[in-house]
Amino acid sequence: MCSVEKRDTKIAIVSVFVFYCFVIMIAPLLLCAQDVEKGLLFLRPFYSLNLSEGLNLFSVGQNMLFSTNLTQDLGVMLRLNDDNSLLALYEIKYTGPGIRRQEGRTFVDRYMNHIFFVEHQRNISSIVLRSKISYINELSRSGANEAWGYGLYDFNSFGLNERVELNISKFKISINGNLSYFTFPNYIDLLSELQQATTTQETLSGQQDNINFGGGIGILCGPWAASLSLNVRNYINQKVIDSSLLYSDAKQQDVLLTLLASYVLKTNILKFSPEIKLNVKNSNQNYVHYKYFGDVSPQFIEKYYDYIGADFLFPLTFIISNEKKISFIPEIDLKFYTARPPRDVNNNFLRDSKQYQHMYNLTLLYETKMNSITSCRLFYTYSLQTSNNKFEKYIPYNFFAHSLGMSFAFTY
Amino acid sequence: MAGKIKKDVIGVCMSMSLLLFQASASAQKESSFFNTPIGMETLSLLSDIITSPMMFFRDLHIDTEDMTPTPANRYVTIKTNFSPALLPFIIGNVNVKAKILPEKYLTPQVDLSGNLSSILLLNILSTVIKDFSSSSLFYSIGSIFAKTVAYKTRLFFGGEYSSTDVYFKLPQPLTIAEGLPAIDTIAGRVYDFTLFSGIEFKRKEGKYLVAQLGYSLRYRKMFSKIMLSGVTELGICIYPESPIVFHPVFNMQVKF
Repeated sequence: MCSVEKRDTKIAIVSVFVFYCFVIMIAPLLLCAQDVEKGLLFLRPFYSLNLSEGLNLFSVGQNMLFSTNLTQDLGVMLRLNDDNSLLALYEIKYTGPGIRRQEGRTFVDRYMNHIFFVEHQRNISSIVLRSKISYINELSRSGANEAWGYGLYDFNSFGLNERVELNISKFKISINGNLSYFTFPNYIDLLSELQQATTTQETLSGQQDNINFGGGIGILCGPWAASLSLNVRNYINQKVIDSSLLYSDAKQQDVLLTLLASYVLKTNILKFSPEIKLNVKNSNQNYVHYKYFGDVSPQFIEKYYDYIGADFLFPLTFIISNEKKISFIPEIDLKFYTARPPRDVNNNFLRDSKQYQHMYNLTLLYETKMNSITSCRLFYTYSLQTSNNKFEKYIPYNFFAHSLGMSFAFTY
Repeated sequence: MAGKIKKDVIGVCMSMSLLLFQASASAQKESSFFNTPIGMETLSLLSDIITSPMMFFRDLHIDTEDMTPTPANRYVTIKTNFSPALLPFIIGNVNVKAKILPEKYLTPQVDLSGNLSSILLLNILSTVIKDFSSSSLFYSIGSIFAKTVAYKTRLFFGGEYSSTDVYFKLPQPLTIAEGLPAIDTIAGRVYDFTLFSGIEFKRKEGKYLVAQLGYSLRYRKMFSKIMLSGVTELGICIYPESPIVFHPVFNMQVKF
């Protein structure tokens, strides 16, 4: 047995051992559901398995694509006493092609996520304090020769989140702060490799590692809700390209400001919940454009990644019965780049205008509950994207698509 | 004597069909099937399977495995997979599950499960084709913990160790179709540690709906099973990362 197999075997044996220790130690605790009024533990498990299969028909590129989404949530809520409770959740999710595994030249990206979090909730009179720690592991395959665990965009994230909820008169106010650390163990900087191709320097990894922190405030008053949040992402190693076409000493920093407003109108037969979201992204990173390999006159574009976005969602649901619903969901997603010029079909920048992308989606959804744990959804979505960027050799910017799908959810 | 004749007839039919397949491959240039979209898709599918045959056999092994809990009022369940294992791949298989601890107020139900399978088709071929050698053994052993959480609803989880071992060597390389690699020898062993969890809903007396998801620790491979279970069991197994994503499954079982 080679060393890789020995390592895999050890990892697997340790994992199974840890699993069985968890079962032996935690199971009696988990299964001890006793009365809260007597001041003892109360436990409620949560389980959800969601399987979705979709067919996407595009007007350009790979005309027909099947997609699969498989998600399982395992959770448990432990009520320690009247004021303290603990919530733990594990989610595993797969997103990728369906019906046939697409490999070779028809390869389609696929992702797998493992998400853990533990949240403690404490009630102090009319204030609710929620403290959460989380871990996210995302594995990706963006190429046919990438095995799981070796994806360029694989990342690990460790996060802390603190949230305070207050009830003041008829308003419910929430204030939250979060801190996350992202690592991309396999990411390499292609521009640096291109620039330093004649040296024997090791490929520069860790360029996407970053520390993300932010906070926000939300207000809920009856059917109205609004929130404002700010997230700052500081890259640990990634430097900013300046007008000399080389990396400067400044580290990359991205700032995202989000404003969200929504309203819910619900009657016995109707639910209408419009939502408006505004995003403003600001980054100090710039872009160097090599039109072709060996281009000796690359173009420098400042503030290439900055944009203003607006997302409008107007879902309308007709409640036919306790088990059946029909929804009609139009969505408009607009993105305007503040400094990025669009390209023509020959990959030349058109400096007299700025790039925009508009996406319009229209979804029809039918949902039915088949029994106490099973629900089924059938959906159809029409999508239309338009942009003034006409260079579509690798990524389409102007297209329309029809998506049909079915999903089953098994939930307790 | 009659049994031996039957075995010989089956073996001759199998080898005839293999020869016919090779004959059709040699006439493939004139055949229009592989030039059609379905034919090209079939070629692509066969190519995927030939490139990674052990993962395909592992998927068939998972189809035969039983990772669901024994009904509360039963002690032993014996199950066999008719499709796709027995038909068309002629994989003889049996799964035995026994309740070790019944469910009580504080403790879950604990079951032990074991599976044993073998590709009988290879055994038959090796007796009728000269210089054809083969062996195959699939087995797994695991445990399942189940707990009632609501009326007619149980949650369960568990883990298992499994091994899928296949070897066969053809007397001469076989090319199924032009463009596919020639098959000469297939040999490999896949051993795996799998964790799984799911939900069981009792539709009627003796009839259940079971949905579960499993994750292979060694290969980072997910799979899901959705089954309607009674005297027979009908369902679907989903392998997102496999050449054939959906495997319709039909089992028969006896409960004591």
